[in-house]
Amino acid sequence: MKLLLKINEIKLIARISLRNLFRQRRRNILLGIAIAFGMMILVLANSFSNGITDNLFNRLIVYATGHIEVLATEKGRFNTSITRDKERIENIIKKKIKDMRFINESIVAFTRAIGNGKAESVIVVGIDLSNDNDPGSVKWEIVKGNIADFTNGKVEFPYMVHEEKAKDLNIKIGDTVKVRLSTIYGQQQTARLTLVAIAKSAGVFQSMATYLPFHKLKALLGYKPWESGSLQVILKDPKTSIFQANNLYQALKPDLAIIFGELRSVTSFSPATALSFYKERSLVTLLTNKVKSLQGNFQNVTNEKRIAVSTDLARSLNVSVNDKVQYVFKNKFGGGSTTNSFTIKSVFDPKGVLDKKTVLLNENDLYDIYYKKALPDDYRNYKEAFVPSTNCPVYASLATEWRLLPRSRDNASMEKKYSDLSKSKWKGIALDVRTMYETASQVVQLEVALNIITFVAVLILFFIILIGVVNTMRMSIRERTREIGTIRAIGMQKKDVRNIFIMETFFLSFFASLAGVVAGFLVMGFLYLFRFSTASAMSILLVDRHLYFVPTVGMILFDIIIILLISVVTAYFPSRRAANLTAAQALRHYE
Amino acid sequence: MNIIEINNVKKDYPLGQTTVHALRGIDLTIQEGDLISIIGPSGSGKTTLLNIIGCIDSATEGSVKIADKEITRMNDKDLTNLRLYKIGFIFQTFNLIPVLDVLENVEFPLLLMKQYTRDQIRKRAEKLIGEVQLKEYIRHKPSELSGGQRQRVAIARALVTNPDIVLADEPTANLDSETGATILELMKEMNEIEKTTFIFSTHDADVLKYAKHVVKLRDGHVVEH
Repeated sequence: MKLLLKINEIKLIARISLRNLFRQRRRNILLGIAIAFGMMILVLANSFSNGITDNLFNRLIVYATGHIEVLATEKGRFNTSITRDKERIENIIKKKIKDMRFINESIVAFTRAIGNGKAESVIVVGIDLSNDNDPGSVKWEIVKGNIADFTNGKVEFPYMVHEEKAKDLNIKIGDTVKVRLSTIYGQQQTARLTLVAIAKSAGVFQSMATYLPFHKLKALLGYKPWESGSLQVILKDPKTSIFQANNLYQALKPDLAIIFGELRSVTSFSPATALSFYKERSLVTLLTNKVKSLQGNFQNVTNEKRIAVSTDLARSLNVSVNDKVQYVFKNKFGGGSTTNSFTIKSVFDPKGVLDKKTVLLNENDLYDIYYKKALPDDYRNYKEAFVPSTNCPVYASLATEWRLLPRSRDNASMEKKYSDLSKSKWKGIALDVRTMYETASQVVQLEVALNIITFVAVLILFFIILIGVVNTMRMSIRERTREIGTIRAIGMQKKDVRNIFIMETFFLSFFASLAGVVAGFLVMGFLYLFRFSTASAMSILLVDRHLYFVPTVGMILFDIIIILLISVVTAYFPSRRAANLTAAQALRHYE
Repeated sequence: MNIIEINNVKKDYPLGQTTVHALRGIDLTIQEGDLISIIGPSGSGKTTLLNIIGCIDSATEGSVKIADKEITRMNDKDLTNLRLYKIGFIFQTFNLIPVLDVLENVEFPLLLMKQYTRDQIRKRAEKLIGEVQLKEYIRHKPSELSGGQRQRVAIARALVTNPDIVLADEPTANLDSETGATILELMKEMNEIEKTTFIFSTHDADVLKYAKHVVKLRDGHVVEH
């Protein structure tokens, strides 16, 4: 009941406010037009900067990096990504990422292409047109040639480029383009690519890419079937990228690098678990404090192709320091086994710390044999394999499968992280989890900068409008002073008088803002009618040759709230002054 | 029973460098249900006295009791409530709210009271509009009414809350004599029907016949009661 009576009172105040708006029609319409214009500019500018971000992120960067990217590198070479155990990383991604659309395997090469008398730097992207999830399986607008030749196997290396690149390289359908690619092992590979199709590009960035069938490019770059470049995750909701990447990061923390195989001497052999230790001095000291070297010197094991064996193994194989041994393990992929030769430099007592059939390698040797040829078979398949627990006194000094790099805040911190790692002596596998927001944090910064510029410009505009609001209010209060006296005399409280004036400004700003939003959409529609050339500098802003706007409900609501807030705060002070007039003072007022 | 008790009320206004003594020590008691006319020449203090009784202005000195409540020590909120619940106002220039129609103007004080439902408010307002014979103008805006009709609306608005006191500051000054007489007849009738205390100020000797009592002011003093 009490609420109902309060609602009646609010309705009365609202009714008076609304009718007063129409009473001073001309003045309010002019002010409303000014507010609507400001709102229109705000909506246009925000939609435009959103459009740029959306264009760059969702139509460009996402194809280059995915929403989340898991990047594996070796020896600090961050321009080449090699995921040695694709299946394992994919399984972790599938288990950890919610609402995932798909995982994309990215194979890309940066090279120089030689056409007909012209050479150009190009990005060669491997695309799989038969895979619906592949970013390349879009509806290509082919200008010349036949897209079917890209997949039908008639041509050894079918090549597709965009119009602009075809012109730059001076090539036509059937021409050969020579490229020199660097494989993941650093060898140079020359290939002759045959141009089978020329496609239209959506923008300046897309025109930079050229295309080869995915599996052809993968083979050219030296990837084995179980390996891949970076793994890119495409989410249903890109906004969750950072949160999901953080979750994935936790799941990608590495286990110890453990190999189960056989140690062989000239005369004998024995099953043995190979562990590895970090070469960092403090960690070596931790290990040597707990594991006593009974023969030889443990420090010598830090050199290449050196090994430490447990006393039990030395005894059963009848070997000692400086003897040669072989360590053989079954491969995880492709069948067969891998053999590696070492010289024994220490015989240690594993008692109470490690298993009696353990060999210790330095980390460089471990990563060489662990990843180079084929991965060792999973130690979990062997009951006899020794798995140190986390309570093991030397656990901290034992090498892990890979090093998980800390998450980056933005592109600058990511670059610094990569640079630091390249400079360090560590040559193992580094795994990085990154999202497109960090990879292209400059785009986020660009959007923030654009929004700030827009906001400041619009604030200046609104400052002018606010002078209008204050002036209108002052005139309105002056004209209605006796009316204020009357309603105060009748029994309206000060706050209600104040609210009448505030509500008037609120309604005016609200309706004007809505009109501004409608006007903003009309202008966007109008601008969309124009088509621009992709050759112009503006092409970064274009999608399908049109200016691209992305208005969002949240952004429009935010703009309306900001405008209402500014108007109401501005109206508050003159309204309060009006409400503070005594009824007698107000009634005595004559214009 | 005394509805108003005024003791030694003085009111000074600053006017530039000087001070105007609008009331110079008024003592006055008014009975419930009375119909009083305050007369006097311009500048005698009639409007100031009505404003103080109506709680829209404060006395510089002295005591004012309305329905046994000392109002000189009340805060703005309580004074506003007192005006809403106990006092009705009729102004010389009608002072209707121009954006509201007749019905809404009369309903206005009842809505502020936050005591009645919409139906109760509508019923009470329509009754008062009927009593001032404006039923056919119920949806008219003040600008569409004559001076006499506007003042009738003002009377209905003043009476709609069933106040103890109705204060009318020169209610007939802006009306022709015939309409003015009708308005005063109406006030007299309402005084009899609703038993409301009416106090009106005037400097027109012709309207004195409608009053039960007359208070005469001169230079801020009561000279006859």
